[in-house]
Amino acid sequence: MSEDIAKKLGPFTRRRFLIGAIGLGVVGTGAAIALRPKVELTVPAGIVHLTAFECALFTKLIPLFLPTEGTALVPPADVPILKNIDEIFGTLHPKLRDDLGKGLQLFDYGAVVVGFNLTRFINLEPDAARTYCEKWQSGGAVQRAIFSALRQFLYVSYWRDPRTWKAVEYDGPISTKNNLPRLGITPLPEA
Amino acid sequence: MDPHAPLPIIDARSAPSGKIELQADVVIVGSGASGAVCAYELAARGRKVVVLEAGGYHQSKDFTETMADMFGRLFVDKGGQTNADGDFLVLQGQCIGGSTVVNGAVCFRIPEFILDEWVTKHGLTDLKKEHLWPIYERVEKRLSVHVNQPHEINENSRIMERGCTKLGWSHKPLSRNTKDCALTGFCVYGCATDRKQSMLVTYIPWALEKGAKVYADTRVEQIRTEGGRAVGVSGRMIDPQTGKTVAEVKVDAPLVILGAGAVQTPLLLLKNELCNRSDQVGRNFALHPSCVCVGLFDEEVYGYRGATLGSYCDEFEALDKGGFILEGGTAGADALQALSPGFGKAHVDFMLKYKHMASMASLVHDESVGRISWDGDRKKIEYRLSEHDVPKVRASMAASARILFAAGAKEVYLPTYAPNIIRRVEDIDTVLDGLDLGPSTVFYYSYHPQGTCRMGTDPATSVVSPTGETHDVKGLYIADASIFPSSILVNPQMTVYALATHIAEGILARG
Repeated sequence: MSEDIAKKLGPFTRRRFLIGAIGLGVVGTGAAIALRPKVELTVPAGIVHLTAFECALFTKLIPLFLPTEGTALVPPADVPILKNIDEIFGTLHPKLRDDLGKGLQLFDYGAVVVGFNLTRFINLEPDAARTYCEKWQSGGAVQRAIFSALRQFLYVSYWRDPRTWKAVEYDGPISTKNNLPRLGITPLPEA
Repeated sequence: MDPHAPLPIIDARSAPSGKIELQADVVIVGSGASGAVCAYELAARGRKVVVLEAGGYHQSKDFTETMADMFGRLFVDKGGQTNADGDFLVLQGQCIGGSTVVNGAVCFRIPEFILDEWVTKHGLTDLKKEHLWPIYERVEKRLSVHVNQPHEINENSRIMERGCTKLGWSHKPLSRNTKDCALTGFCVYGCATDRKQSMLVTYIPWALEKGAKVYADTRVEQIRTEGGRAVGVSGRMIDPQTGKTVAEVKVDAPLVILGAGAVQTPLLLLKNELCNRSDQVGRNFALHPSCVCVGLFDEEVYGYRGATLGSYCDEFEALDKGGFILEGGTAGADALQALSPGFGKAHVDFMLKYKHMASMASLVHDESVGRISWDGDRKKIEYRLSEHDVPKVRASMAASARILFAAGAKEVYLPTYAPNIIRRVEDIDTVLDGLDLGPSTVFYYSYHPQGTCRMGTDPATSVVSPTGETHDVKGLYIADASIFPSSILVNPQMTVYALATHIAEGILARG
């Protein structure tokens, strides 16, 4: 994730959200109601570093990113993806964590200002949400950077779980399993 | 010394709290390729040596061979260090043994045409082949460097060789510093069976045996000077679990050697406002860009099984032929997932074909256009491909795709943010010519950051002299990859060992 993403988001944020704000001003309270999340935002038990909004965003993305139905892959519900993402967030530098939070907000509210019927990403229906993700994947540099970060958080958090490996015939760690001997330190070289 | 016993390294778990005050002949910052070599060479000749390492001490028995665990324990920023744009993953070890613990074990001597440039353009006349080659030879023998034997070349690399042969392109087995390699394929997560001859199992224990003291979890913050001479360093030993200071550390020594790597060494100098009369500290940063193209085959490849890196294509090594090499290697599912084209069904379909994939990584000889600096209390890594390097990267991807198709690939996946799949060899140029290679377009990574404190004879354009001593501060040396005057095209570990040996021997020769 970019270290200076907030800086890069600046022009994008100002330009696009100015348009958005004008639009919202016109539609007034109707928009405010439309922007309310459809689901209640809560932080699930055991999550320490993610906000309620971020939990909702990632929860929305998981089935879009991992449509495993009908395949041999482990269903994402069987993997603690959100907990794994939370763990990664806990390791980030505070400034980077802050930038990342802004990037996720931008991703969510971006749908309001780029033609998704004044609807936040977390409120989009699955087909619209998928189309929105495709636009960000191939969008401008800032959009690509944010989308790539989302993608990495999700996929790293899924595939790090050893339960996901069998389906793709990845052996995983083998030294202990095969009882391979450790050689230890190498003797001093000859003078 | 019992070869399986823990090393007598002092870390946050074992150190007494309070203050650690030491006197030494030499204090070395960093325990990786340069720090470990200097520590052993100087301790073996009777110098009282102290090594301070910011990372932890991890024994190979604790290497779990999984990305999530080992990135967290062994790498800078838990493997999340990037450039400012976020599109280059800059991978560096931060542990006892440094990046040598987490590299792919590939060994090259510096290409002669680059060494010639260092001698002629940067005035490094001491580093002629006649001087450096015997040093390489000695280090290679100590570290069991050998050309990969047939059993060390896995199916992934065989596919690369097959493609090269069909195209009439030159390919060779790589050389690696392994002893009785167990072919687990987990070099980059630390060798769990001590087969890779990293500094963790060689020069660091050798230095300890010769009397050196090694401190882990110790972050140097201050380089102390008096009257233009280095007199020691100060820092803190930090508990990696809590982030709290365990002990204040102060080492008095008339010689200070920096071996913290091409990112941390300039940051330390900049923080201390030292050695920057030339305004060159942090500049001339090269990242040695790598990216991976993946081919899909009908056959079952299981490319992750066997030695991590087997063979390479050197057809394009010369600058007038491209200035890049291609190395055959792939990764576990927990890492290769990053290269899937797109998300959702595309990702699921890609991963379901995992066992049918072979891949190859490019290493590009880049221009030193980047810069390391501070942005408040955060490091800043500025690096974007130069306009001269963009065509090299494009050509390296095209060559990878041609090799994979020649070997029988049905599809080739480019490592781009937006999905790019090439399905016919005839489409390679069309797809690549239309590819934007600007920021946040390609998944790049770098295991080889270099430059930032370059060596040279002119104090106005370089930071260290050909002896490794900084131009500005007497007794302060730099021995890591930051002293490279230019990017060296190939994996740099052997060249760091060789230069560190050269610097240590120079210190000894001058008394």
